Amino acid sequence: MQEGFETVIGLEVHVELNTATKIFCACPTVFGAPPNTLCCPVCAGLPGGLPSLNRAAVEKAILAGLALHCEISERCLMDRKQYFYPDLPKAYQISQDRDPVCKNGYLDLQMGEVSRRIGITRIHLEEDAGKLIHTEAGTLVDYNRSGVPLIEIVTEPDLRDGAEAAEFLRELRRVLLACGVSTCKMQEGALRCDVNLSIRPTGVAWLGERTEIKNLNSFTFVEKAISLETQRQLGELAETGAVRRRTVRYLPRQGRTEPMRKKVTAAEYRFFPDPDLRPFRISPETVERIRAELPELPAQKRERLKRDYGLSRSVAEVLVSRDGLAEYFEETAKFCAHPVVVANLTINELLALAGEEETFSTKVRSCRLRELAEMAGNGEVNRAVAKRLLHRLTESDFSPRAVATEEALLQISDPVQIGAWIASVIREDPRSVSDYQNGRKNAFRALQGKLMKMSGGRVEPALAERMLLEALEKKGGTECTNMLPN
Amino acid sequence: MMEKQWSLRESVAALVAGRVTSRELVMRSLARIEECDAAVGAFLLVDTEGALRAAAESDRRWTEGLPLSPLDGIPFAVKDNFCAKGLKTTCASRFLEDYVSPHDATAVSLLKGAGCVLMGKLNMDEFAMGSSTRSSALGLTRNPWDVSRVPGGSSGGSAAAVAAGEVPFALGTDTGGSVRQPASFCGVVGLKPTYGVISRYGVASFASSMDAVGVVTPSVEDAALVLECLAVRDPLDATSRSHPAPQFIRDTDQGVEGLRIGVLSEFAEAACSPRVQALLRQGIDQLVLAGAEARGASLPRPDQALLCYCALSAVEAASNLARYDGVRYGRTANGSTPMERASNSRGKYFGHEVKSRILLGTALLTDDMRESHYRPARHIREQVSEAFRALFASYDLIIGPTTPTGAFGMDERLTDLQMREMDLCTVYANLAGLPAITVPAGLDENGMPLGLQLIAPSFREELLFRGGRVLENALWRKGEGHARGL
Repeated sequence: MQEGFETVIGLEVHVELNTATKIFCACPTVFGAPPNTLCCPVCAGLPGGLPSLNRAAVEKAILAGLALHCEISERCLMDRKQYFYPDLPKAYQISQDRDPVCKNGYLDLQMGEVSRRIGITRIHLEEDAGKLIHTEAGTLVDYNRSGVPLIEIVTEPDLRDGAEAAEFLRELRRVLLACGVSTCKMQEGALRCDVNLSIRPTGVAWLGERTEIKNLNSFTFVEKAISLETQRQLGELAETGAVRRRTVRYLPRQGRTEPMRKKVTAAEYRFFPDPDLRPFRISPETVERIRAELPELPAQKRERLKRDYGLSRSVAEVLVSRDGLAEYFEETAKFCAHPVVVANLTINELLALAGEEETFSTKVRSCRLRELAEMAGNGEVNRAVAKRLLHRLTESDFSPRAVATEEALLQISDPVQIGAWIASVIREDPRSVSDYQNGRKNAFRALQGKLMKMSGGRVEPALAERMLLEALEKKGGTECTNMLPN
Repeated sequence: MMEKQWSLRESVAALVAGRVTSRELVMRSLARIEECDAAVGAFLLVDTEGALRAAAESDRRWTEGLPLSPLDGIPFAVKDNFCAKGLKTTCASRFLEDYVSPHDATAVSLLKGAGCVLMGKLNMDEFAMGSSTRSSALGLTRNPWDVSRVPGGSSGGSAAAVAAGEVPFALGTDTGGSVRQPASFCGVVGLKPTYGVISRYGVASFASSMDAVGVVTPSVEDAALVLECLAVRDPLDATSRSHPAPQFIRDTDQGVEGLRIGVLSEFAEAACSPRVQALLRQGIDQLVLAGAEARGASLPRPDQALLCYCALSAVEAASNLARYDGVRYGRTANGSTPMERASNSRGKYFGHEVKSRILLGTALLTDDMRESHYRPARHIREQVSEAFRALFASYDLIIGPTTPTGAFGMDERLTDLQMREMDLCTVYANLAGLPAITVPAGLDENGMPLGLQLIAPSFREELLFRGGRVLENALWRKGEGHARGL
């Protein structure tokens, strides 16, 4: 960011709700069906088709709104937003203009040490449009998606950079997943983001003219597009003295944002209340019933994990960041005396081993991890062995305790045994010993490695290190064999 | 051209008694269409094959003693803005000239479900916009009473077909008087039920908040019979309502003793021909003779109500007709972009009346006109509804003329204003969502039929039938009018 300027960002996030049927008709909302097999007179805009509002969509929107601390409107109205586009069958989108289902909420973010509260202006319900498919023969339209329920979540211009925007989206996704209102699969278009961005001198209260970056379909793209568009606006400002309001698109391959050729005028959507749908009321009882269904939200979960399992903030954050990870952790840690060990094994080892799409419990059964964590926590196996066993557990299922015993992997803390091994190491490698004594500290690592190898990695690391150090300090090999721990 | 036609009630009685088969009724209907539709032009499409097939099935059910309803086997026809599976639904527009509907409108499927036999589709003003059926792009319909005169509109085909005895009943739509005005011009009964009582699903929308499916029949009792079949709440139409007392025939003969009738005489004097005013006085006399009390009642802002109707119906029409873009169905003109193709298609295949209403409706929602015209119109509409609620505290029924004059000549050029004034007496019921009926009551100076209109409180259709029956018996059945029909 150029000195003296700051970026101001607001997001418009479109989220497809995972209702079984569409928002205004009974067509299924399945993703990936053959084109135009999931539509009817209503969602294809045939003469005589009329909408009737899917109650489940309204309830999911309310649930999302409550999770984002919104006020729920008592009286709602569906409006027609009118514009022509081939993927919009009725040439208007049924949406909400003046009376959205939810308004005035917020979402808290933790950016390292800094907490940030991002305002949610509104959440409104609307229908998705169809999809254009460009082929060599021409452009085709698939109306399967037409009428899939969407909520549009609009934030206040509270975000200040790409990283913050991306973290907002990640946290929002966690919240929505926790509520079970959407699959949030970005690759299927279930979560899509438009970015409104402007720049202004740091410290002023007014907003600069904004541009809108349309249809960003990954968090990385959001982050990159924001930094590119900030640079582009700074350039435009330097060159022409002003930023023009327009829509830009992000070209990931070329690594730049580009204003769209067509000039976007202030949109004339000619909103008016849809006369096919009656205004509807959301009673306080309904809101309370749905509030009672609110699941534990990510922020609450992080707090509880810290409190109940004695985890650090960063560990709790990692556990909550990945879908299903915290649940797996809890299943494992609940009856384990060493939850921190479980958390460390999960985060440091298992997280890297489990692929994007895999669930943790199919990777390693939680009872196995629990047993392993108990052993590691009690000092029965050391860290290296625990890690090795965990890797093996991802390949086949076995009892860690049985295998550790059978394969003599249990940790050795017996000073006599360790002393004997140290003596052999020193005997066998006099060169490293003399190197060490001549001040080459690297030589210690070599000796330590030999000791580990000799013991099959089983020695208790801290004890072995201390004993090796003492043996070397005493110089001379013969005395060492008789050395006893102090 | 005339031979005594059975009323719906008579056909039903004959079917039940086994004196006639559905096939015979259908053959009669076909013969009548054959005989006079070349001159009348009520039908856009006659489905001979489908009707004969349905009649055969109906006759089998009667033979087996398992009719679906008392109406099983009765022929009917619908205005061409009702979808009927496998048949064209053109809305009398070039744009939809070749459009075949994949589904049945709820009203059509209810009648089919009762065993009624669909004979075909009836002419109308293009997309139901007009009062003479002359804006149809697909054919001319003439008044069976005098083929040099218009049948009225927009449901001109429905009124003409019933008046000519081609079908025992027909469905139309009434947005500002489109069932009642042609019924009055053609000397038949036209019923517009309370808004929401008959489902609009599968009927191409004109102005959703005022559109009502209406019934055209030879007699008041027949209208009650058909309404009983159609007054069913439909989950596919979010504006549909369940009727609190859907038994209508039972009460049609209860008379009007003790009913308080409000008379719109002031209004009639200002707007209607002397003949119409005289007829209104006759009607009042008959109701009073039958034991009702009649008192003068005034309506709020009659001048403004018509403008309000024009504005609001245009706004909704512009939006409802936006789906006709030629992308998925309908006629497509050439163009280099999708936008250009859509706009060329609409320019080429929509008629003048339709285009002018779309332009008006679009203009009314632009930023400046929204405040100056659209909002005031909505406000007036609320005032009209409120005024009727107040009136119905003191009255059970309101009586007034249906049309300011009788049917005008096919070649008579009316100014836009004169044309709009055809709706002067009828728009109130649509603005306020109230049930209304027109009953043929006399003849004008040209020997053309004139109707009287009754308006009742919401969901009190039985009052319309009671009052209508008195007027019908006193002024039409016993008078010279009826015999002088076609």
